[in-house]
Amino acid sequence: MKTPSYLTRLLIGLALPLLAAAAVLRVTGSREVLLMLLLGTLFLASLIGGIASSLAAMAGAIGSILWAVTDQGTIPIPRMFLPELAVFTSVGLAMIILMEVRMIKPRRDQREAGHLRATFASIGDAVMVGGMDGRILLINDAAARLTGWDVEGAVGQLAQNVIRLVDGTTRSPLQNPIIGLLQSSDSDLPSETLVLIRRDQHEVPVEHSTSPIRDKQGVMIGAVMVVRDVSVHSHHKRVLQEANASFRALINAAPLAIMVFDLNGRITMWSPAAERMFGWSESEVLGMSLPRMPGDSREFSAPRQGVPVIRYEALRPTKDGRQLNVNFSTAALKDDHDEITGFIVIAEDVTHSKRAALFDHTLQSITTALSQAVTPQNVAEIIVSRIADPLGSLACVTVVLSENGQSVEVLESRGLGAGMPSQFPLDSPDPLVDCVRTTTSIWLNTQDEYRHYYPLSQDIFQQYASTHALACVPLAAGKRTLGGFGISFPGPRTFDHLEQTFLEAAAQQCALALDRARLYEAEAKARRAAERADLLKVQFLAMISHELRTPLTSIKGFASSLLATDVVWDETRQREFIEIISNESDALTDLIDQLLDFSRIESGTLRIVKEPVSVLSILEDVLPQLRTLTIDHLLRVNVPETLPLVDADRRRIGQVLTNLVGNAARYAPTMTEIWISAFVEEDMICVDIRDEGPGIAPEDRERVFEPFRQGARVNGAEGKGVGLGLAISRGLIDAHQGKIWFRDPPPETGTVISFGLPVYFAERLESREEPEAA
Amino acid sequence: MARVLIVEDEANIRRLISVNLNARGIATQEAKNAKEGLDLLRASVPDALILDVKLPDMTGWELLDHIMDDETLPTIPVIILTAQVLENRAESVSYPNVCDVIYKPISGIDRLMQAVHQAVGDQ
Repeated sequence: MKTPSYLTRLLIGLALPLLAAAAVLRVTGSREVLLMLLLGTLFLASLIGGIASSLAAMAGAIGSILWAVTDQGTIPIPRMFLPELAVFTSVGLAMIILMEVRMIKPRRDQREAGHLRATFASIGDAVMVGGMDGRILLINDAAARLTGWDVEGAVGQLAQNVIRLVDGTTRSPLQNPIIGLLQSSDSDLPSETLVLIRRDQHEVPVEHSTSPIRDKQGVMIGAVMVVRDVSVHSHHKRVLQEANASFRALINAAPLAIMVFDLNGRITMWSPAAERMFGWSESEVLGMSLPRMPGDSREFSAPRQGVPVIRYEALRPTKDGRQLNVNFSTAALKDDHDEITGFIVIAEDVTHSKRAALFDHTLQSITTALSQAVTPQNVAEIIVSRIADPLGSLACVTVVLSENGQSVEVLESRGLGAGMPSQFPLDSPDPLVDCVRTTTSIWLNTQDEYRHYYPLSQDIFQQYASTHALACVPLAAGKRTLGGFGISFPGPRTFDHLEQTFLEAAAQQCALALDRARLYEAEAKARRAAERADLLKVQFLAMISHELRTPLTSIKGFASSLLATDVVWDETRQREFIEIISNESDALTDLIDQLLDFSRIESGTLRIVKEPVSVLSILEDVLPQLRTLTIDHLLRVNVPETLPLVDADRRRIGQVLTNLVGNAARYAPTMTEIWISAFVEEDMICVDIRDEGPGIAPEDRERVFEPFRQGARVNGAEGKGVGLGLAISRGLIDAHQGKIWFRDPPPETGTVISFGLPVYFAERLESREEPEAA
Repeated sequence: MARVLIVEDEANIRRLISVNLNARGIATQEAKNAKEGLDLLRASVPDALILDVKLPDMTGWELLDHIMDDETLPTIPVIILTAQVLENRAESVSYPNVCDVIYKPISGIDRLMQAVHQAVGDQ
């Protein structure tokens, strides 16, 4: 039955006495009857409405008494009425208290206790209530089942007899929790490893919690203890703990990075390998979602949609800003109900193996390309296209050690623009030169490193401000250093072990190819020279044969004419024939002499007899011959007497003069001037022979010194001689440590050939007069 | 009187041939290069041609090509005189009008006289 509301009870308490008083006073006017009635009403009110109604009824009764007195006016002064009022109040109060304590309260308590018991019974956990004396007041069915006591039997027992708890590990009995609470006002029982010993001595692992029961003033009046059987639970927990520990150990030991993410892509687990791979520690990343890390919803969309495992490769940043090639395997984590609770991601850093594979592949392509390289230039081009370009270089320079080993020469440069010297001394403070000199790779990762190690470098890469990193790798075939190459980069770079290994392996291949190309080139050059020499020998033989046969034809022809029997020659003819025979014999002798000279020069057996001599006296020796040679020309001589002496073989230098003037006369038109002039130039006496002939093209000036070469015949000039004159002249001048060359002719036309002989220094002043006197 | 054109760059050899032929009743003309030779040929055709192979402006064989290409010129017997014993030996075969090849140095003036008589007599 529903208890009337507090307001209803107040109204009932107030209304009943007032109604009763009004009725009594109107009918009887007897005070005794009123008093009795009021008491009865009060009793009724307290019975129905409890203490609140009772108090209200008492107030109502007192009110009605006072109202009766003042309203009727029949009652004498209130003083005489007070004893009755006092009696009424005392009796009323006593009645209320009595009823409250003895009759109404117990009934309500019983009702609440009924509710509690029902609640108790339905609770799955064992619940026990103990009083301050440490005895059980109440236990529920679950507690009865757990402890082996029955509900009634347990009540009044000491709590520690019913709930026998021991420490699971130490086996020491534990204090009665209610007593414990009383003493410390809080439970300090270890809840982890608690064991309850049942009445039948069976042991059950339990968890418990104990709370004090306090009255309205906060005074502890008992305790509630809840005990839970965790035998099943604790087994699961142990298994789970073991599984967890194994899982964690696995994660810690795994070489692959293992990361666990929640549904929102936040990191909940981060393995040590992940820390090693990406640089962030677990504490740094827990609860976070990293930019461009898996956690990106895109990367979890496939597992979310039911794909069991997805694998993909992606570029990922590390804490220190590197980019890694990472192979990811991602799978969804599910609970017992097949609901996705998160994601597990396994990551493998394949940057190294990927780069290694790339470098391997590049090396193979370099090998293939190099097999086609036949010139050093080809090799340099491969260095640019197969090594520097794929690495993203700014510039690439390939240098080779010069033949004398004193400098490096630029074979090929790319990306450095014009204006770079083509040669650098071997002591240049430049990393590339340094690398070649020491046959050691040089790795400069930043501009700062460059400036630090090469503060003086003005060369190759330094002038280009955009160079940040530089790798210089030597090209060495076996123990021979051939050169090196430098590759510059537009940004700072770390030349790691892999890259260094790659560049050095590539350099080794290039060096071998360069060596091969050079050998090939040298061999091809030698072969060409040999072929040319062979050809020249054949031509020489043909030429000699021809040149020998021509005078012989005249000699034999005229001799046989003289001997002919069918013709009689007059004396003039006979003389003419004999003169021709004589002249042609001389020409033959000259030719043979020239061949012998050339042969001696070639074999290095030419004998030079030097003496201090003036150029003028040499000229004077051969002047008659020169006049004969220039009979159709105008010979001009300008040789000062005061010139210093030269140290020379006068016959041989005379021969050179005859050769050169003879050449001039042969090619220059008749009646043109041929000049012979001598003068001091540097530490030599130079003799110029200038003619007004057709001249020699600059590109032919070196070639005409080769044996059996003649300048192009022009103006119908009759080619005479075998083309040995200049070759012999050069051989003779070389034997004097002099030089012979063509000067640029004056603007009009002609040829200026010049030879220089070293000045004779010793006894120069005394000897000056000597040849003049001789 | 038979007439022979001598194309030869060596003056002494031209003289040798001329003086011997003239002494034996054969008239001669001399040219010191191919161009002069062609000019003389076109001016008046001789009975025979004595031709050196190594000429300053072209080879004797090239001169023969020019003669054969010129339809105004009749075919005349040619005696090749050469010092180039190592080459061109086969070339004479392709020129049917070459009736003799004499190598320098000649074995004797008789050999040349015989060749000229034969060439002029063949005409």
